[in-house]
Amino acid sequence: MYVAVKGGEQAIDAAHRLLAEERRGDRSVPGLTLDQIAEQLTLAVDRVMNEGSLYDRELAALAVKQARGDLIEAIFLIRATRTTLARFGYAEPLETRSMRVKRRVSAAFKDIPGGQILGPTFDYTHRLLDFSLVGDAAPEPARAAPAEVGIEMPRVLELLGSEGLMEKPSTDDVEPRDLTQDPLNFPAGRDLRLQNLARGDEGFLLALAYSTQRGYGRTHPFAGEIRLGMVEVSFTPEELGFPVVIGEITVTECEMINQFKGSATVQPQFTRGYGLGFGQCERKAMSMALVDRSLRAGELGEERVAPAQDEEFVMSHSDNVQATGFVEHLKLPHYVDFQSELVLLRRMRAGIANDRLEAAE
Amino acid sequence: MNAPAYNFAYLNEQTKRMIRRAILKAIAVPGYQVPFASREMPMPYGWGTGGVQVTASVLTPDDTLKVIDQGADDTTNAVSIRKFFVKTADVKTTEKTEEATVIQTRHRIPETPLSEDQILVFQVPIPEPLRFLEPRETETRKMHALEEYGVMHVKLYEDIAQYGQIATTYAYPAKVADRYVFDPSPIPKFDNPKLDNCPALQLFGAGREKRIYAIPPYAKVKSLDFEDHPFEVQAWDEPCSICGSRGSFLDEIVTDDKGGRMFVCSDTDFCAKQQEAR
Amino acid sequence: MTEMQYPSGVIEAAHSFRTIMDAVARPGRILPFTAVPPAPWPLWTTTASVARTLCDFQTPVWLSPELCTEPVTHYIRFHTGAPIVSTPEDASFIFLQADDSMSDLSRFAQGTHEYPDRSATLVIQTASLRNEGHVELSGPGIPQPLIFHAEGMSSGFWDAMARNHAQFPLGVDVIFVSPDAIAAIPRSTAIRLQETV
Repeated sequence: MYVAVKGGEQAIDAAHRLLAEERRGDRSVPGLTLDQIAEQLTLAVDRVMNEGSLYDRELAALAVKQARGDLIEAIFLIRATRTTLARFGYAEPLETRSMRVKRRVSAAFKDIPGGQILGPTFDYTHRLLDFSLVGDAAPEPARAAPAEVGIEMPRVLELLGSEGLMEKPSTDDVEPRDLTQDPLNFPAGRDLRLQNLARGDEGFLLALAYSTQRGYGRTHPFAGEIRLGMVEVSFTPEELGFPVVIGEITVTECEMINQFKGSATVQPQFTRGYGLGFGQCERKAMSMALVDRSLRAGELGEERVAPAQDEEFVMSHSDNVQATGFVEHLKLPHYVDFQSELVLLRRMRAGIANDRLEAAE
Repeated sequence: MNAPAYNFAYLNEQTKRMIRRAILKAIAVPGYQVPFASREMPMPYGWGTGGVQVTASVLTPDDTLKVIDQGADDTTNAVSIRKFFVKTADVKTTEKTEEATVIQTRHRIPETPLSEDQILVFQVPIPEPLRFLEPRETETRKMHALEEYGVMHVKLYEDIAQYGQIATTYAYPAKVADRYVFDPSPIPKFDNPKLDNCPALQLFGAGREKRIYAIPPYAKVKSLDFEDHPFEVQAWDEPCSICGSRGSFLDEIVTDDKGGRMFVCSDTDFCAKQQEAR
Repeated sequence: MTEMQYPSGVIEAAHSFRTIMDAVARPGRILPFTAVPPAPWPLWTTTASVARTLCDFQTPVWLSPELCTEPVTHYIRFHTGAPIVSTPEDASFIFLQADDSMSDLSRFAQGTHEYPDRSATLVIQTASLRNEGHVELSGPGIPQPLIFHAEGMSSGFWDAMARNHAQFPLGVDVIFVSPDAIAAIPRSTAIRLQETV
């Protein structure tokens, strides 16, 4: 006699306890501390803050630990935390011109005011596994140049702009909308597109950006400037009526110089793409800038032929928390609908078998 | 670091107000998908966040909540969602359909007829009935605005031409109040007749796709069909192996690897009641 | 299970919303509705409760001239954060009294064909609600046609409501509030004015 399977609740509790054990792993191995993760897996923490849309290194490090290193799972944890936080309002726009620069490079010019500053980068390392990292030997001390006070680092795109060679940034006074507060409609404005890309999956944006370089909506990009460093965050409380600096965050900013455009009445100028992210995230900021430029096809009078130019496609599929939720939901029971399909299929086959029998008679 | 404290039913008041406003507009325009700013919830998108946000916005401390998935209270996701509401709303729960005031469901309508004092909240993966015929939201919105449902009828008719019958067995599209075609969520078409003239309010939440829609009580709901191919529901050759019911949706259980099969009610509460009655 | 302590207003809003939702889901049905005082004159506690439950910084509010008093505007701003606008077509919520001239509902936001949800919701104060008179309601949410009466509404208003329904799915949705009850007529409801005997 078949007895319906019960005990789903106990199964879930047991699964959670097993997960906690596997997360901790071998007890004779020291447990990870949040400091270790924040200090030494910095780029993982940066990615989680970026796509989690929340700047908090400690929470992001906790998320990485809880998620056992699965960064999309960690991003999900941070997004869910973000939903519960009280919102006081919106910060003033970040002034990246005043960034305390750690790294700043431009591919468009050999040298620029303020100089090319390599900073901490994997770029010119040889990708050979370094077995000295197996132990905990202290690295050789880095030679830091003294911080030059008052050094001017004007933005490369502004230098082009002052010559009239770069399209001006948009100056409409319309309040940017908030992607997390209003439902998304298409066509979407650039404000919502950039927010969507900022929290979008790095791999998805990387692939789309790569596709534009391979001919799927070519935009002739040059890396005008990439900056990494700390910027101040200011906020204007209602009761004070003036901005107060509430802290500093690390951001990566990328401005791409793209295909020039002109018309019968307007002189040709370079066009721009923009990327910005928390922490050190050059791959992400560069991909974002390339895709931003592609999605501007409409306002720049370009025909939309490539996936990276397809606003609805890009924006509907860039969010990895949504994507993983839906892909992985296939693990949920679907046996009722599958039963419906089985019934239909068996009936159709019986129908065809009958037809064959009748035809044979 | 302090752990965040949760509001009643987890969502903050501003989020609830936004969802509540969307629900009212959804009821005013039956079957029309109202966009809403879905929030990240502690369970993944695609696992019921839309249903959870709707339930969280209608719940009061006086409610009795039932949560089912595939018709059963004890499936893992139903257990998980029920625990979530116990933790964040301290609400009474039940497995008995007639005792519940709010029922959140994935992919089934309870066999026990519902009453005016009940609200049925459906979890919806893809709210747009035309989505697989037209991937663009910009286009489908126009089609609903113009009441242009031709592509759907063509698809159903193509099934008839190819298979001799309509091949859609779940998420079967229907028209409500003679105006909007909607997707009733992936309930088997067996359940579609229960949508029509139902005394309870039926609310549909799609979290990932960010849409809410509603069927008011007693609204007319007609599944799409053709005069020469009228809508019909599934039937089984045998009754439920446990309670003997011949009128309920049956799950197929594989009992061995030699083709052994048995059929039992998908609605576990209904099955238990039928057993008691015997 | 321990008694949860929530900030004041949270549970009240939940109960208030259930009643409002029930009213919209079952048009013409008159439901008892109580609310916690105080409320600013000339708003009733019930009307103020509807405002607190549904309005916030995302919903511009328009008040009829008689309701647009300093206590009411202060109350709305303080308790809901809703911006108060001077042009009715820009408002999501419109607060009116029964004797406000209302033979033209088209000056309120009607929604668009692609987004019919973007229409205004009217909240009308009336001294009493009864299921008698000569306005017959039918449609989704109404199992049998229902007679409805809201004290002080003119026949011009009911003609306007019939025109409102005629442009379904566009149109406004109406909530009626009395000192102790609530009822609603969404745009989906058909209005028939019976011949007076």
